[in-house]
This record gives sequence, C-alpha cells and structure tokens, in this order.
Amino acid sequence: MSDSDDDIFKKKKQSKKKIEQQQKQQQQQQQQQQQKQHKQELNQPEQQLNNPKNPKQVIYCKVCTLPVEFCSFSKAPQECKEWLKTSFKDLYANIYPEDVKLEQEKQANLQQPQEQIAQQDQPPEKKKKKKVKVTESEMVYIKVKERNRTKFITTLSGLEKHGLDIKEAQKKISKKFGCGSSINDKGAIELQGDLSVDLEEWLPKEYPTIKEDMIAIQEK
Amino acid sequence: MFKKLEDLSKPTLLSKTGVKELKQSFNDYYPFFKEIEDEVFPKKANIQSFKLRSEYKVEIVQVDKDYICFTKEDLVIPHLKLVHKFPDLLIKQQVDLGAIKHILSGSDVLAPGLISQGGQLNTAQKGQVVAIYGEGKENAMGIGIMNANSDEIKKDPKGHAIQLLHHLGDALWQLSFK
Repeated sequence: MSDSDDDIFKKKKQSKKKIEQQQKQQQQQQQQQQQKQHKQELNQPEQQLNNPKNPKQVIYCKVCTLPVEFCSFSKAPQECKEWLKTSFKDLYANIYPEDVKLEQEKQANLQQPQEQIAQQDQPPEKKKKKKVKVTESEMVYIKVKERNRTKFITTLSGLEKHGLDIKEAQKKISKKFGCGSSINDKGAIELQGDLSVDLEEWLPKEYPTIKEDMIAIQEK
Repeated sequence: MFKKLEDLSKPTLLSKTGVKELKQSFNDYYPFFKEIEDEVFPKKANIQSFKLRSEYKVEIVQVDKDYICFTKEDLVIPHLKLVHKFPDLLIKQQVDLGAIKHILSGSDVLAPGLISQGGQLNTAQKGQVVAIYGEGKENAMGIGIMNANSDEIKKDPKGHAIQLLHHLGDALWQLSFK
C-alpha cells in the first residue's frame, strides 16, 4: 500500500498541455516520413532523367574509344562487336538486331534431326578427299643457288612438258622481273636473283595449264 | 585543327585571375553555364593549362586529369566529353546519314547536308559555336563555328556552312584516353 502510494507521488503527472504537444509532434513526424517516401519513389527516375544539371553517363567502346553507336565507322568494327557481346548484352540487342535474329535462326536449324544432315554431307565429303596425284610428266622444278655471298641464281626446268616455247618464256620473264637470263646446256632457263617466291605466284596466272600442285621448289 | 599534336609544352598552373577570366568568358558565351559551374570547377582543384607551339594562341585546360576546354584567341570552346555530359550547353544542328563518314575524317559541313530530309537547321548567328549531331544518333559528333546566318543558308544552299574545329577520333580526343 505504501509503495504504491509512494510511486504515484514520485511520478509527476504530466500536464495536459505537454501531452497534447507530444502527440502533435508524433503526428507531424509520421506525416513527414510518409511524404518523403512517397516523393522518393516517384521522383527518383524523373530527377535523374529530366534534370539537365545532372551529368549524363555515356558508354565508350574499349577497342575504338568512340561512343558505342559509332563503332561501325571505326577501323575494326568486328572486334568492337565481339567486345560488346561479352560486356553489355542489352545494348548489343538494341544496336544490332539483325545479328541476334541470325543467331536464333542458326540455333533453330541445329535442333532439327541431325541424321538427315549427316547423310546428306557424307557423299560430297568423300569426293573432296580424293586428291588427284600429279605425275612426273607434269612437274615444274625451281632451284636456287648461291653465286657469291649476296647473289643467287634460279633455274627453271620442265616447261617443255606443257608445250611452251622456251625462248618466248625467257623473254617474258626477263622483261617482267627486270633480270638477266640465259639458256642452259640441258634446256633450262637461268635467271639472276632469287625469284622463287615470285615465280610460284606468277606462273599459274600466265599459263593456266600449270597448276599450283605441279610446281616444286627443290633444295640443295 | 587537331590532326597531330606534336609540340605540347609542359603544364603550368593557372593563377586566380586566370581562372576568373576563364569563368567570365564561359558565362558570356554560354548562358547555361551558371548552373554547372560548381561541378565543372570544384573548389581546391588543380587547374593546369598546356600551350601549343605550332599554332597561334591556342591553349588546352585541364582540371584534375579531366580535359575541359581549349581557347583560341579569346574564344572558349568546350571539349566533346563535356558536351556529352551536359548536352544543353550548345545549339544543335543535325546532318543526314551520308555525311557522317566525311565529318569523322575532318572535313567541313556543306549546306545541302543541313537542308536535305535528314537534317535540321536551328537559328544561329554568324560566329557562334555550334554542336553537330548525326541522323539517328544520340551523342554529339563535332564542334564548329558558323560561317553565315541561318537565314542566308536557307535562301542559298551553297558552299561551306560550318567550319569544323574538333571531332570524334581527334588527336585531342585520344589524349584524354591515354
């Protein structure tokens, strides 16, 4: 009994004014918090987009240092595409929609029954594997020799097998490459300088009967 | 103008009066600059300038390792990166698709490109600094100076309309990516 009475007298009763003030403050705080949350939810994206004071962020390609939409005007546009694929997939779908469609079509084709495709591919593959063997009667030989430390001689032999005149061929070659030439005892053409690589490219263009498989460079 | 940057001198710190003159000339030419001033030139920042020996009175300004603008005989012209961040700084002119390839290799803008179907001409006076955009692209491509008023270009679409000073893929542009 005495304790309860002491407790009541120890606690000071708050006057009515103070209670009302406290209630008002609590209500105001709650209203302010609600308003803040409401504003943040609505205005966050709008503030960032519409306010011209905020800086706009632009993505630059690492390969060509230009903005991503200008990559087709750079020096190596294929490398820029591959970099975009791995890092930013959303932008890749926006800028190159045709490539995305092609990839989807390829995947759809692969899912077809693979047996039909395998049967169709086998006979043409077998034909490609057969290589036509070149006989001795059609080979053309090129040799390179050293005369001094810095000077070389190339010899061409085997041109008669294709029915070509040696003297006319000698004149053409010496005019085209600007070198001295002569004819051997054995019927081969001798040229001054190292022309093995140039002759390999030039001979099949001039005389279409000679094919690339028929030329062989002999070593010492 | 910036095809090759060979003769760049060493950087020198700008004094307080130099920074004040820079800010004043910015405010004179570009009225939008008042709102961005604190972001572009923060307090306690390191402002340096480089001089070009090959040209007459050309300086490049750098703030904390970011290239901001360059000056040419009393004119202040912003760098393209600044224009990408704040696209409201300069007046916009648009060119059609076929001219993008030539502008990115340094040629001037001709009048028929602005008047054709894919282009837009906004009002501008002679001697104003203008940003150049491409058809269907978001970001700016280059910066130039107008050779004549926009009214005269509409009457007689002939000849050079805008002189190019700075474009994407420049020597100045590649400086900022090292």
